[in-house]
Amino acid sequence: MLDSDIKTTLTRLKSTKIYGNLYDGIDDVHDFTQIPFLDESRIRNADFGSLKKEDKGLYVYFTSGTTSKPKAIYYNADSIEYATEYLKWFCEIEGIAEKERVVVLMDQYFWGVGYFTTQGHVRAGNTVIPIDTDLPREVIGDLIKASHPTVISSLPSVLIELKDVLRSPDVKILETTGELLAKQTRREIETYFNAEIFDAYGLTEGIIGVECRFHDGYHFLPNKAYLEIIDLETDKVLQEDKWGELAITTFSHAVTPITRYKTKDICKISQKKCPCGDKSPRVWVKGRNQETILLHEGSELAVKDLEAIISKVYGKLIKHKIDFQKEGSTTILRIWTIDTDAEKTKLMKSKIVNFNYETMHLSKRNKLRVVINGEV
Amino acid sequence: MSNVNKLYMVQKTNTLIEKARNALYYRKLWGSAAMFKDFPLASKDLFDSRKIKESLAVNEDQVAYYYFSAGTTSNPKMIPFTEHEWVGRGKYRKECYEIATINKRDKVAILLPFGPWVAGPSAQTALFMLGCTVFPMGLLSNIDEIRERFSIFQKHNIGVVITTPSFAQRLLYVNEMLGRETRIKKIITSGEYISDTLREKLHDSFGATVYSSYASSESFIGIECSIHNGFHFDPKQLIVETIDQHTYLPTRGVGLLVITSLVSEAIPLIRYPLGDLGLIDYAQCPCGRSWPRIIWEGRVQETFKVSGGVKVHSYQIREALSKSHIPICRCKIEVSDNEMGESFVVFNLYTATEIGTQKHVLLEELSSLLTNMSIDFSDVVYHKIVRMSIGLMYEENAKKNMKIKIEVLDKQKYAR
Repeated sequence: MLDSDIKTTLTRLKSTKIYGNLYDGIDDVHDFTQIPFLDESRIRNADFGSLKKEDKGLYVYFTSGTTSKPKAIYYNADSIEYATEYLKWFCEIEGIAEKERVVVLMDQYFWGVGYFTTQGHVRAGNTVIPIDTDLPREVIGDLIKASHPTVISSLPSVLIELKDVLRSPDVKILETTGELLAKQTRREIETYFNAEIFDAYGLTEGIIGVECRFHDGYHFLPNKAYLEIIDLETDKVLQEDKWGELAITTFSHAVTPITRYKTKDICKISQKKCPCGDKSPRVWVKGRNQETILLHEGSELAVKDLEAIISKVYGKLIKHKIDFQKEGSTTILRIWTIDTDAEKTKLMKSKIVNFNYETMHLSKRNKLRVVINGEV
Repeated sequence: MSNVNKLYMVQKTNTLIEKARNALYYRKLWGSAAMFKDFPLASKDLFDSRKIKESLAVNEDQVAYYYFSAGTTSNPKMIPFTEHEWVGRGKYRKECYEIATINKRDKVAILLPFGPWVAGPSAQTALFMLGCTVFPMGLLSNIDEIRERFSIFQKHNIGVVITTPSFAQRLLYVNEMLGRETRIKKIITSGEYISDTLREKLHDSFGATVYSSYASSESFIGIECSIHNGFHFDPKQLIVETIDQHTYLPTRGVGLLVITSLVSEAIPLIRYPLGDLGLIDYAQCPCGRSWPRIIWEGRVQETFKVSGGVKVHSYQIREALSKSHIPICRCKIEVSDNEMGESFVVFNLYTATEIGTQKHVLLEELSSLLTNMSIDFSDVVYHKIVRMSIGLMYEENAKKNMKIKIEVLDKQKYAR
C-alpha cells in the first residue's frame, strides 16, 4: 500500500465516529497493521446519527444482518466513481468491454450489487438491461427474449433456477458473483448455456476481484481493494501463498470506511504472474471460516446463528440436529430439537424466517422452507 | 413567451426533428410532412421491442440503458437511453423535486419499482444529483417488510418517501396498525392519480405533506408545487399539446395530452400521446413560478390503472382474449381497491358460443391469458398487489366476429 493511501485512510478513520471508539488513539499509528480490525458487529451497530451530512448526494445500500440491525453502507460520489471504475476494469479483464448487450439479472434495489454492476458495464461502453430477480419467471423470459443479450450477469443459483427461460442463442459470456462457484456447478451452467463463465468475488463491504480467461484465482488491484491474509488464531498477517482469513480495506467507502474488515472467508493471495499477461495479483477463495448453510442468491445462514436462535427460544442450547437439502431452487432447512413444544417451534421458525432481509425475502418467494420438528 | 425563448424553442424543436429523421419509424410516419404541426401522432409502436431498431435515432452502441414498460407480454415496450439523455432526464427530475421543496438535507426512501422498470432508477439519479441521501428500497408486498422498512426510516432519520399512491395507502395501513409510530415529512407520489382523501389521511397519519408528480416511462413530465394546483412543467424541456380526442385538432380546453420531449435522444419523443386528458394553464401560479401547469382531468376511455401504477389498455386485453379457444365478444371490467392499497379486477367475459362442460378449463386458460397480458400487469399479479377474478357467461344475442367490446367500471376509492 502506498504511503499516501495509508495517510488518506488514517485521516478518514480519525474523522469517523460511526464505529464508536474503535479508532481512538490511531494518531500514533505508523504501521498499517496497527490499525484495529473491523468486524461485522461494528458495521451492524454503526452510529449513522454521527454522520455529518455532506452537500452532495449519498446512496445507502444494505447487506445482511439481523432483522433489527441490517448493515448499511453509505456511498458518496467518490465511492461510486471508485466502484464504477473498478468494475469497468473487471470488464476489461474479462474481455467484454464495449458494445456488448448485458442483462444484469440481480437485485436492483436495497442491495447494491445490481446498481454497481450496471454502472461498471455502462462505463465500459456496454449497453445494460437491468432486471430484478424478483419477477415472475415468465416475465424474465419475455424480457430476455426482447433484449437479445450477449452477456448475462447474475448469481449461479439464479442462472440454474431460470436456465430454461434465460437460454438465448446470442449469450456467449456469463458473469457470476455472490456465491462460491463449485467446479461441477460451473461445468453444468457452461454446458447448458454454451457460454463461458467469468466469476467475480466481492462482498457488499467491498468489491474484490475477477477471473480472467484462465479462471485461476481472482485478479485484484491493491489500490482498489487492499487484501491481507490473517492467521486464524493469532490475527497476524500471513505471507503470500498461505491460507488464512481475508481482511479487506477498500478505498471506495469514503463515508463508511471499510478498513481491515475481517470477511470470514478463507483465502490466499499471490503475486505470481498469470498466463493472461495481466500483472495484478490474484486471490483464491477456499470457503467460509464458519459452518454455513448456503441458501439461494448468495444468501447464507451460519450454524452458530441458528444455535443462537435455539438458545434464545429455549433459554439454553438444547440438544438439536440441523440439516438442509436443496429441492430445485428451494432450500429446505430442517431442525429437530429434543423439546418439541408447539409454541416454541412456531417462535423458532418465525425467528429463522425473519432472521434477516434475505431469509425473509427468500421465504416469501418459497425459496427457503423451514421445517422444525417435522412442522412446516 | 419572449421572442428569444421562442427562437430557442424553434431551434431546439428543429434539432430534435433532424435527429428523429435518422429513425426509420419517423421517416415512415411523417412521409412528406415537413412542419411539426402536420406530423401525425406517434403511437405505442414507437417502443415496440421487435422493431426497436427502426425507432432508434442513434447508433445502437450509444444506448447505455434499456428499461421496459408494459406493452404486451409477447411484445414488451423497450425504452432506451443514451448516457447523456439519462443525465438530462435526471437533471429535469431534480429541478422538479426542488419545486416539491426537496433539498440536499433530505433523506429519501424510494419505494418505486426498479429495473426493468425505469421509475426507481430515474428517481434515484435525480435525488442523488440534488444532494439527498438516497435509500433505494423498491416496492414491498407484505406487512412484515413494510414494518422493517419503518425501522430503517427511524434509524436513518428518513423524512421523505417517494412512492405510488397505492403503496402510500399500504404504508398508511401499516402505520395505523402500529399506532402511527412513523413520521414522514413529505411524500412524493408518482404513477397514479392521488385523491384528496388519501392526501388528508397521509397527512393525519404521518404528518406528511403530499406532492404529486406526473410521469410516464417515456418521460418525466411535471410536479406539484406547494399550491397543489396542477403539475408544473418546464416548457424548455417539453412541448405539451392538448388535442381533441376525436378530431385530433388543437384545443384550448380539456383534450388528449400529447408531449414532445426536447431532450429525448435515443428515441426522440415527438407528438406522443400520454393516454390522459387534461388542459394547460399558462397563468402565473401563486407560487411565483412561470412554468405552466397541466391540470389532469382523467384517463382516456378504455384504460385504467391498478396498484403499482400499472396502466391497463384495452388493446392489451383484446390481444390476450383473442388467443382464447372460446371467442369472447364482450368484456366488462370492474376495478376496486382496499385500504391495503391492493386492487381487485373482475373480468366478466361474454361469449356467443355455448360454453359446454369445459368451463373450468376455459377459465384457467382465460386467467392465464389475462394475467400475462403485459409484463407489468403480470408482475403486480405475481406479487399479489393486484388480484383478479374471471366470470364467463354465455350471451345468446351477442354478435360473433366483432371487435371485443370493453367496458370499464372503475370503483377504486382509496388511491385514485
